[in-house]
Amino acid sequence: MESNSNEITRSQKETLTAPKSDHHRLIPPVDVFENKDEILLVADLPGVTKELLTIRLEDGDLLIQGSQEEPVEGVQWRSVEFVRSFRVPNSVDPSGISAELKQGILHLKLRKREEAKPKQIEIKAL
Amino acid sequence: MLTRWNELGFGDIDRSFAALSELRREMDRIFDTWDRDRVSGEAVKPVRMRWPRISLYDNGKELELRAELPGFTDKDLNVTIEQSSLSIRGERKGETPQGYSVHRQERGSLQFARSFTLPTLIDTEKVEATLKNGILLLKLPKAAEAQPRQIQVKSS
Repeated sequence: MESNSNEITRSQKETLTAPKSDHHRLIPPVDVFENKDEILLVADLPGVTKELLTIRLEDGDLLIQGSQEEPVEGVQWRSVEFVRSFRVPNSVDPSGISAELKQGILHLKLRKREEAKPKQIEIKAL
Repeated sequence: MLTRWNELGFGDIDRSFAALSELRREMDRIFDTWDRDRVSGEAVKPVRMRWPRISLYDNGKELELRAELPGFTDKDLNVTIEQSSLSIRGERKGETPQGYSVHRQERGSLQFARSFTLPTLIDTEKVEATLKNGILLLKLPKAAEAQPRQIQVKSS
């Protein structure tokens, strides 16, 4: 990812991510990896279920927003919301994003456009 | 002699402390920047600073402890109870997937050990521990003598 990949446009995103009033907002720790085909983002989101997770890509801003599952009945837990956003490079194909949530960990794969993948240039000897 | 010690010895120490304070201020500044939520700009403590987050609740009959342990499996955790003392230990290895280069690694390897003195005695035979969606839930039934008891009031 570009060096400023995690910078986000504050005013734009503020409205999208306004926390529910009684929610406690946390920044989840994230790993970002890259190979020639894709960017892989791994985030710790304990207690977040598929239904309570939103992943949105808009104008190159990737937003991850997840709430924790409502806990055991009769017990009042403090609701927690995880929010994190990243600036995604143009090389990412918006239609090629896949997400997997397992054991409280999100694996997000951002596939690169064909034309953005590194190419080996063949050199012909004359 | 004492005076000299004061002037030289403590003077040096003071200077070292001054340097440390400077470093401390610098660290605070870095962490303060890091603590800003990138979305709203609010100061928010990153999860890691007080990790793992643990809550303990009392619903009358039992205590419930909930710990956020994403990616942990039953093999990575060790929970022991002795009398009213509870310990949780765990370790998760950080993994860099094969064939990828690293841009950012905030999750890494994690190792922790935490102990609590529970507010009541526990029926240790009936403790249940489950791991779901990265949350460890411990149900700790109170020992019979610690259960709430209704006292019948007799009028004479």
